[in-house]
Amino acid sequence: MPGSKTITMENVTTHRARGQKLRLLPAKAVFWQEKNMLIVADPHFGKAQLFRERGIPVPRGTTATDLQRLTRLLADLQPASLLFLGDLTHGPVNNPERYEQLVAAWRRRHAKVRLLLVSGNHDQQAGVPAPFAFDWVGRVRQEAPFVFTHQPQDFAAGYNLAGHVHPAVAMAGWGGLKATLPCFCFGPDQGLLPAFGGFTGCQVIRPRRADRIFVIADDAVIARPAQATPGG
Amino acid sequence: MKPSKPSGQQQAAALKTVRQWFQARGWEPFAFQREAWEAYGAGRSGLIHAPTGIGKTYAAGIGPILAWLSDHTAGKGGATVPPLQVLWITPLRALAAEIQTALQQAVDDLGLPWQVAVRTGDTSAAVKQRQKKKLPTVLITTPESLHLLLSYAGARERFGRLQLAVVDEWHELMGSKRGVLVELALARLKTWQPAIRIWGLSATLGNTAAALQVLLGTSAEQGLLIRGNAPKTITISSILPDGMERFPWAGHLGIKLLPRVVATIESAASTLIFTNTRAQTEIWYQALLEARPGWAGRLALHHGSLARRERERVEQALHDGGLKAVVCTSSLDLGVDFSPVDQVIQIGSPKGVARLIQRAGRSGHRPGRPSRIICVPTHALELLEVAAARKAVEQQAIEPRVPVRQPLDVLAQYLVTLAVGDGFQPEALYHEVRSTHAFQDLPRTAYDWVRDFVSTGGETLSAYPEFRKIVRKNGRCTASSPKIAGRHRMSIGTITGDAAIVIKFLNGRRLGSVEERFVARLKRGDIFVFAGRRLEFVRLRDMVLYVRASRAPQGPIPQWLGGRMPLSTELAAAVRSQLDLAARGVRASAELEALEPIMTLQAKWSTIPGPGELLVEKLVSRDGHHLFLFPFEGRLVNEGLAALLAYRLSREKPLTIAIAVNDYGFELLADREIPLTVFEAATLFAADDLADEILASINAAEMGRRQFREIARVAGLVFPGYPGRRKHGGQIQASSSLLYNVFQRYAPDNLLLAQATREVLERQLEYRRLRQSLERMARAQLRLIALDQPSPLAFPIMVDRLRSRISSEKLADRVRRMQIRLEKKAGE
Repeated sequence: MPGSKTITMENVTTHRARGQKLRLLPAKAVFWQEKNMLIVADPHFGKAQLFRERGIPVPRGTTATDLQRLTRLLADLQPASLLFLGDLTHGPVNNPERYEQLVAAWRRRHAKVRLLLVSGNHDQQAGVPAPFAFDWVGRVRQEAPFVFTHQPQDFAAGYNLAGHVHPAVAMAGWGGLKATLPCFCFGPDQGLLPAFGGFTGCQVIRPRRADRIFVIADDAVIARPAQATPGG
Repeated sequence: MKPSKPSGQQQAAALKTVRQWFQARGWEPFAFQREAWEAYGAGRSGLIHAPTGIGKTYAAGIGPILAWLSDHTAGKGGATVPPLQVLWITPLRALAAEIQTALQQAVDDLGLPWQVAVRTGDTSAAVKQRQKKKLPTVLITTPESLHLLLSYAGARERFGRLQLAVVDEWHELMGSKRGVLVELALARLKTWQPAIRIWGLSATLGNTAAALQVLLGTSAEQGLLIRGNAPKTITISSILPDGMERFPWAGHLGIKLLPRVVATIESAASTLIFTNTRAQTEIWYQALLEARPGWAGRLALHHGSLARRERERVEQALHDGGLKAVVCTSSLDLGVDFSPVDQVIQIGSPKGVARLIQRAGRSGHRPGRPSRIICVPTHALELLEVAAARKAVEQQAIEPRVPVRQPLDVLAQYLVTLAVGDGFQPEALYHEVRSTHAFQDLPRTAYDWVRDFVSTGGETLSAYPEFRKIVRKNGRCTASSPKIAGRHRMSIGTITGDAAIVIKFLNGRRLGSVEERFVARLKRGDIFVFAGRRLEFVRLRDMVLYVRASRAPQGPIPQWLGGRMPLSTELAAAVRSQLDLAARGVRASAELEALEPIMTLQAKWSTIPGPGELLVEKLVSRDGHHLFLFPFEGRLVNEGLAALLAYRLSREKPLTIAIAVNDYGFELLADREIPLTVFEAATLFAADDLADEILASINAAEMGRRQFREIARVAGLVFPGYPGRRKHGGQIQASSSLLYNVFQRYAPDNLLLAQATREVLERQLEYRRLRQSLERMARAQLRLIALDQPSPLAFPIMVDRLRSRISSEKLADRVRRMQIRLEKKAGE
């Protein structure tokens, strides 16, 4: 039931958007408290395999680890549904059997959770692997007050939550120390999620003055003061 | 086919012909040239070392011409162009055309039916296609283009009758991975043609004999070292500031001395102005033009990020003698031959003795005239370096070049290069690779690991079918698909490019390139300075930044990575002796005299460290608690020492320490007090477990990640993309730093990670030098001084901050504290 659950993880920061409680998890996911929904963006499953098939010897294990991370989140939060904000699979692989076995096993473990996919640009090419057995797949998903998409878009109908960008911010602080950290970014009409996938890069964004930024530092999510944003 | 051995008479006749040709041009062959020709005739290999521009090309190039003339007396030989005889490897495309002209001249005048041609990245596709069928008699190429040729089937037939391979500017290549490309290619050529002669051309180095060994690998014993004409005398002077109080201690630029520089340029007909970074080149060019608008058109700019056509225009103008002055970087250090200028100005310290000699040599080629170099300090203490450099030149204390050892990334690339060509036999190739200097100690296990890594991704074939790059057929390893070959050829080479953004005018004219991170800070309509022009950002599309000329008065200047050179060991030692002179009040030079006010102040507020002393200064400021230490070891070693001490200090108790370094010393800036007494503990400077502790400290400093960028690129982990395609690499594009994370986490035993670590130790931190320095610090008598304000030695470090971070605190805590600071600052 909404709001009845205790979240076992520490260091979780809550952001309110349009009156809803969004719990920002250091695992690079959002838990929408009222709807009991776990939301992740840009896992890019199977990316390392695609690299290997094209002759770039990237080590294996990234996709399996990411699925385990999801398993832990599902175990901890017990959400009713899990929504992917696109780029579920990185690209079409030549030897999908092993990946599909992995997914099938994962899905069997979490047969009860409703799986939803807002498809992204990578999904158009890669297709949606059958073993996920999605309960819903589409380009835009509306669940008031939110409109979920892969690429950020403006909607009159609601607050847009999107992925695609893999946002990060450059932090500069005391003594000239610098760090680039993945982040959540919430503007007045739009929120961006960090990329969930363990083999994904990130892109430094230039937040606007009204944007609220939450950086992910190890196992903590920390609000960055709005005044510190460069530019305007 | 091969003519019978020529008689002594034929040889004498050939020599006479060549001599007459020399004399017709007003020259007489130098003794070292004749020596080289004889050695070539006797079938020997070797290294010729001499300053730039005194006939090394003909010393190496005439040998095979003489042999041909002896073999083919008039009438014989016919007009058919013979197949490849001479391979000429040069590090710079820009030099290729010039070598071609010189050799073509000799070939034409002496009536040889030879074809002399260039093949570099700039060669047109049509010419390359022709060359694929038949190579010219003399081929001038770069290490990368040579490896490309090895990546096509039929390479053995093409190179099988090679007589001579010349490696130009070997001093420049041998300390780099490009040098290893050359070593590997030469080993291959020797296998195909055991009688091949190999000649290296080099400037004089501190380790010329070693340079010969690296060039020839296991066949070095037969190599001959030939020394060219003795170098000219060099006079080194400084532009001294009028008064020290008006002189910036750590001004980023010596631009305050501009009027004096202008006057110096005016006093001579032609001047080369060397700076140490591309950004400084742009700054000085702007400043000079503003000071003397009348020089427009006669003042030029030259650096490595300018488009080739822009650079060639300047080189041509230099040739023709139409320029008053050229502001340049090391892009004009090498070969490119032009008539010598009257004088050379060096902005900032040259940081090394060899570099100073090389640059000075650009002036005053007239016999009996010395080379003149005038140094312009960018901060007062650089005067010490000028005085030190003068002493080092006197003593000929020239830096050695340290050859690269066992770069597995280069080996990985090479194995694929051969596999996509004719393939290779793993056993035979192992022995061939071990005949090079770089891989002479390569363990079989490492070789096999690299082979597995590029063939199957390091896994057993049966388990995972997805990675299969190289397959074994009839005992030969070959590429599994033409696609692999195509992609691999795109990435041959070892030069690391940060993603470069090409700058073009709207009409398509190319100006050059800048690093992506500079462009990332700009937006539409912004003005910046590049190629001596003020440019307006119009649009950025597909890695091309379109610009238009702007009349706006000011704009930022791009900073390029890798511009900063550390003080060399030789020069650092010379600086320490100069400092000692200063401490004892000996005014041995105009520079030391000029420095006296600063030295007096240093002695008053703190102290001047003598030999056997280590100065530690302490200061409290609004920024925090500063400690300054002065090992005088060059910025690389100082950075390593700083990281190590920060690590050791923060191990005792959680501390956040920020580091700043320059060539003389380093600053540890802590958020709370570090008592000076900690320096009295011997353990702080202990050299036990040094490598491990250094690595632990640099993990935090992310140096390994930086180093991995090059390795990932060389080993083919980062795909540079197809030229002209919209998306670069598309779905298989990943940054090297992301790959580094993934390897560290999922394949920590990967040998390329170990190589990154080793390269950090050897190249970024100069581990051996660092160790010696630490031992010296441990023995030194400590001078612990609490300052009320920054001392003259400390101030430049505070200003010239290069921050790296070291912390025993958790990242999250650190970010929280950054945040608190930022909040406070915002509230002020």
